Amino acid sequence: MSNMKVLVVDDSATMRRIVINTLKTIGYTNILEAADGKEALAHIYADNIQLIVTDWNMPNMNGLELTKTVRADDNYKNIPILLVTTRGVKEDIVEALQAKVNGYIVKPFTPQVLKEKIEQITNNS
Amino acid sequence: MAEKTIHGIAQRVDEMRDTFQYGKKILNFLDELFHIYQDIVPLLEKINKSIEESSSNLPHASNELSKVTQATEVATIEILNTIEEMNCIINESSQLITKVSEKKARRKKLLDEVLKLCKSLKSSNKGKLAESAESLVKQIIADESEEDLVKKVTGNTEKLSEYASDITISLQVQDITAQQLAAVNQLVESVHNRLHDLLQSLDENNVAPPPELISGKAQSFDPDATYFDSKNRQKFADSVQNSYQNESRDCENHKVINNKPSQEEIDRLFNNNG
Repeated sequence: MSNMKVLVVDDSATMRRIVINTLKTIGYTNILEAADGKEALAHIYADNIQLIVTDWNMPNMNGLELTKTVRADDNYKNIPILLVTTRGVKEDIVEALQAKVNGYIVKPFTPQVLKEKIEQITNNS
Repeated sequence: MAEKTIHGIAQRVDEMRDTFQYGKKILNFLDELFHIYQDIVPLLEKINKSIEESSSNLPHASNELSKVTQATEVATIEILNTIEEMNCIINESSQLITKVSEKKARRKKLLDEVLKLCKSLKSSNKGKLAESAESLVKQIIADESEEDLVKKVTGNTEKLSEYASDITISLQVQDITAQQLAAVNQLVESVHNRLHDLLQSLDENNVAPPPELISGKAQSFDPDATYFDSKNRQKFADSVQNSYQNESRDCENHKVINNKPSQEEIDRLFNNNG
């Protein structure tokens, strides 16, 4: 069980539910959710978020814009960010890494992959 | 002089005859053109009507596609709710099995105590009774059937948990197809707009502005989203990330080396200060 406060950001209600269910099965219970980057920022500023799991393609503010906004803010720039996306070409991956995401997961993912990536990025941060 | 005049008149008559013959040809041509025009007008009207109908059907098609996405989303969430309930039951069963195992261990401890007691009673006048009691207790301890059952139930709950997890993974297909449908919807929208432009160019005054399609709402999607080969795509993403991070590290090291002041620079600094 982990007490870490995780924010799940995705415009698809299905995907939010899947990520949350998967996080629960691997021991995370303190989970918040947002439907886009703007909603996510409101949680980040108010809820002491310790890990962000976000989609890339979202309306209003996408996952990459969210990452750049968080990284540009001295108060929140160290929050680990895991990008979960259908985009799997090299240019996209490099673009995400340049925006300073900590981990990159390609959909559809397995709980094992999510667990490994979270362990990797929370140990490194 | 008169001969010259007659010749001139004859020439004019010839010219007039030629002109009439030419005019007759033109008249035939115009007549044909008029017939063609008569044929074309209803054809153009038909095309116009057909474009109008196709254009008016597109918002319906777009709405239907959006409804498919909504319906599959609702169904997927219902399945996910059921899976969550299943997971709760699986967790509860696992906890019960753990409790049974703990109880069994406690019972084994108690039986060991009884065995010790039997051994100490063997030398007393109840020796025979103690021996039979010892044999019974040993039989109870040696009975592995209960252990096998616990193992089997544990294995089954683990399998159920794996299946639930597999179903959850498969349900990601809903998000992926939703993105593919959104891409199709965008194509429908662009065809709809083109047709509207075409109708407007044919009949500027009588074309109403195009109704907004559902796909016109704010949405973002990956047009290349695919459900297949995720394992290899994840491996590829990991390898790109590793090489990117190694390159970044090399760059950082290079910067550190280059930022180190040379002995010459240090000497110069000290000489200036001295």
